[in-house]
Amino acid sequence: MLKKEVVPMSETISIETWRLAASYLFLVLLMIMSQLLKLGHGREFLAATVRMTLQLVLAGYILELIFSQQHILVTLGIMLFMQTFALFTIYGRVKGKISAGLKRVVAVALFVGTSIPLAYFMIVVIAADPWYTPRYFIPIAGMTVGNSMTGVTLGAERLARIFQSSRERIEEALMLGAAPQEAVREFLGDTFSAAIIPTINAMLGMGIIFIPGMMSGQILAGASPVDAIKYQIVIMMGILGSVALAVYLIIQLGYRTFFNERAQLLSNEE
Amino acid sequence: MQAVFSLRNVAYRNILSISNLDIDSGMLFGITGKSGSGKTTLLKLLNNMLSCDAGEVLYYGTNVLMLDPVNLRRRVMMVPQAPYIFPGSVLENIQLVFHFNRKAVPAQAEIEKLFDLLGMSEVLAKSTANMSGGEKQRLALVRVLLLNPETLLLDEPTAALDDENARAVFSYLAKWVRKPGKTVVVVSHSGSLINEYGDSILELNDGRINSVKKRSGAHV
Repeated sequence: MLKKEVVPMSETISIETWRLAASYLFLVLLMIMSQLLKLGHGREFLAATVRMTLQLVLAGYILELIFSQQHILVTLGIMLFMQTFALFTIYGRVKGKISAGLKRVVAVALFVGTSIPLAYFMIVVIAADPWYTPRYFIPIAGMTVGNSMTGVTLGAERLARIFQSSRERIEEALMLGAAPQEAVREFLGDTFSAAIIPTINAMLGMGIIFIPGMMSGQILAGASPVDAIKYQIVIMMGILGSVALAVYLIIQLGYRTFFNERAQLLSNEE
Repeated sequence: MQAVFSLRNVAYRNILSISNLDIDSGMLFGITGKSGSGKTTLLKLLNNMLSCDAGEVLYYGTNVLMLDPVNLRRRVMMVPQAPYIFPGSVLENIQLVFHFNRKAVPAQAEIEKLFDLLGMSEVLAKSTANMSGGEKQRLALVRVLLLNPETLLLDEPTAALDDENARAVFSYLAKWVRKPGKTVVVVSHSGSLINEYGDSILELNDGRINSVKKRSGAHV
């Protein structure tokens, strides 16, 4: 019979080791299903679970170490590491699709677009003392950088695609006396909307279609749902600001990489 | 007569090589030659859509590299062989190009008059989506004529037109160029209308000048 015990909001149920091990029952079930269906993916499922476990255990210990340090250089170093990792992830995704010039713009957009909103967020909205307190700074930086990474990738890819498919139209506008910015104005608006839409869609469904992971985590860790919601709202705003700034930088600096200083449209080879 | 364009030892990749060429003001200057002879490249060098690798292109005595490129294209306007018509109505196309040039859109009556003069008043009410190649070409020409640039660069402006409409276009251009400060440079691979209306005709062969013939007593 289930025990009807009310757990106070602030109290967290610590998961004992054997209970943690019990959760792996679902992996066993999956492997049995795989066997019955003759999928032959058993090894992959096992490898994914082992990898997830090791990564999280390692991350947990590293975060515990970092949280105990509370040093500005350590926090900023981790931020830089996350941004750099995100940058190379973007480069991997857009490989061969964007020019060296646009790659430089991607780097600027990602670093500036995430750093400025994050600084504002930590100093004004969260008002942590000190502002770089790792237990606040690092999770928030992770969410901001992760979401901006998606926006920047979408923006850069779309911009490159437009300049490949709409050359005729852009060149005609230039011949008719348009400045480069005028010649591509409409495309810039479209690119901005397309890159920001996933963030807006996430906001629309939030709390109804899905309960965000961060909020669930906070509630499970003992925070009151109302506090968790407040965090979720401010974090969504932070993400929105960061994605918007990064994408704005991508389009405003990015389109220039397709023209030379004589306002000529560069050929695809250039 | 003042030279509008002067080309000195101009070279562009292995497409064009012109040691010396002057195009005078007030002329309907024709350029002929086979496909791939460098005609379109030459036009693009004149309005700075391309920059030459060597030599210099002068516009009224000033190297085009010293001029603001966007401003130069507002003075020297080009219509390509297959012009792009922007989505929307004919009027919206005209409004857009005036917006590009930061100029006020002319009155409806002025627009209608020009369409009438070029025998295309029926095009004004048409949707650009249903236009034929010839209609698009004439709309592109009207778009730039309304903007009234100093110099017009036209790449095969009558390629998609029947004889009657092609003649109407050349006849209009021959009159337009007599206005003060105007020059027209027309590329065409069919020589008949250029021979008839052109004041001066350059023949290109494999990126080099084959001949420059001047005519006296051209059509007005």
